[in-house]
Amino acid sequence: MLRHIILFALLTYSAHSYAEEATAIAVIVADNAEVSAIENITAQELSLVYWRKKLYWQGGIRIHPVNLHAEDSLRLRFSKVVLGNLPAEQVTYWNGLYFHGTTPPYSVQSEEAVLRYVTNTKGSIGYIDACKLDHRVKPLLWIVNEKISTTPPKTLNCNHD
Amino acid sequence: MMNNLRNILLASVTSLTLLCKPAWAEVSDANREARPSIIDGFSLGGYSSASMIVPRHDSVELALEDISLFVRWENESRLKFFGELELENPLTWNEDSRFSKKNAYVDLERLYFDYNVSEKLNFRAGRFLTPAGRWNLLHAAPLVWTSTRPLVTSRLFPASTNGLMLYGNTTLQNNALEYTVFVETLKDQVKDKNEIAFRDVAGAHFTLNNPLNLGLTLMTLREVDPHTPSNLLVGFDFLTKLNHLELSGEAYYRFTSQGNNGGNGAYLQSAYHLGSEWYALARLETFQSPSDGTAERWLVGASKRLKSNQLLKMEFVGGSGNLPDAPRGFVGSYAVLF
Repeated sequence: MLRHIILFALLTYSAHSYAEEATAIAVIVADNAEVSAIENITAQELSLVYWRKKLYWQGGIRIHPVNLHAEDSLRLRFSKVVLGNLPAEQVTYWNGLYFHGTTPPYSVQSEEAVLRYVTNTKGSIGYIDACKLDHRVKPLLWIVNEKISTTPPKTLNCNHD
Repeated sequence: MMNNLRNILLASVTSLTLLCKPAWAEVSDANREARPSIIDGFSLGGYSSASMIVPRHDSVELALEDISLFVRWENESRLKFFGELELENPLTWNEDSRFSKKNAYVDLERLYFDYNVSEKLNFRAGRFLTPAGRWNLLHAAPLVWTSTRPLVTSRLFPASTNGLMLYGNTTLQNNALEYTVFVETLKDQVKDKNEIAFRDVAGAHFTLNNPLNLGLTLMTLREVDPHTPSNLLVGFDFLTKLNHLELSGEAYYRFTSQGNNGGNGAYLQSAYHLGSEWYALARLETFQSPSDGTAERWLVGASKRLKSNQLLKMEFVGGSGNLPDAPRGFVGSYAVLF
């Protein structure tokens, strides 16, 4: 009986720890002044950018937000935190906007594609798993434990697939 | 000339429907890093719908209702272009006259340039949908729950206006406030015998994007035939979501220059998500105008979202008063956005 209780406690603890250590998401722009249009962005601005309500950066450069594809788990988390609902719940909104000539953010299949898009497209912004950050991009915001922050997480749980 | 244009449109739409991915959908291609476009900055889209009407006291009618094509252009500048050419009623069939194309006509529904100064200020010049309420701005068949349109959204003000517009949005106590101010500068042409001609149209529309999405419409206008003095139109609209229920409505009142009733009406609509993309629908409407008289409508029905860009609709409509394009009986339709 005692063995069962200990086993149950251990399993509960590990599940709890796993939930707490969900991947951090980094909101990125190119680490290249010629491509990147901004040095910082607020959570509210990020939301407006991904709803395509804000179309230009302050200097008049057109904003090119990029998404991961609609079933990607990182996209689902980003969407829930930044936009407040899931891609499947946004169909009516995007259809309406499309009717008026505005398309949803461009979407790509992988985080490497996000990195390349952000690196090569002037005025672009994207997001990736914070563990996949490299020299090509710089993070402006972080999504940790489903909260948006300007400060990086103290540790990154990068031991996942 | 008309027939040629119609054939070209039909051929274009058929090709686009076959070739295009659903264009509303996110443009996605793992191997491409450049922005998508057909010819640098140009993109095409549109929608189409087909319907079946079984009126209470008339013969059954099947119709290809509309084929609409959008052309959009934008590059890295602040200037954008948008155009929509619509072929209305290209083909109808009914028990009496069989196949007919006599009600077909081409309508330039929108054609405008936008110039963005900032999020708070944009200029638009050309032909645009009159900013009044919600339905008129999103009236395309794949974007609305029902096949029939609420009477009040089509008989008290013009659907489109040729003129100038200023629009933008700002924040008001953490909610986005969107505004539109417009004025007619070029007279509209009436193409449909049932259409009401309006002149001297000017107005504004405000929407507060809070949980109720409240909207206010203010407009001055006059009807050409019968000639009426200037009217002031005041309207309210809203759309809210409560779990699986979407509630929306619009109400308008037109004051004559003497302060009398120049027409009024309202609708209240609910769409309840039943699961598996099925929606139960209900709507109540009331309408009155000096030229059309009085009418009331009730509607019950269901819609199925087949795909994100495809909607199947079935509805029973009842009520009083006969008005053009407002059948009573069963109406079913299929609509696709491409």
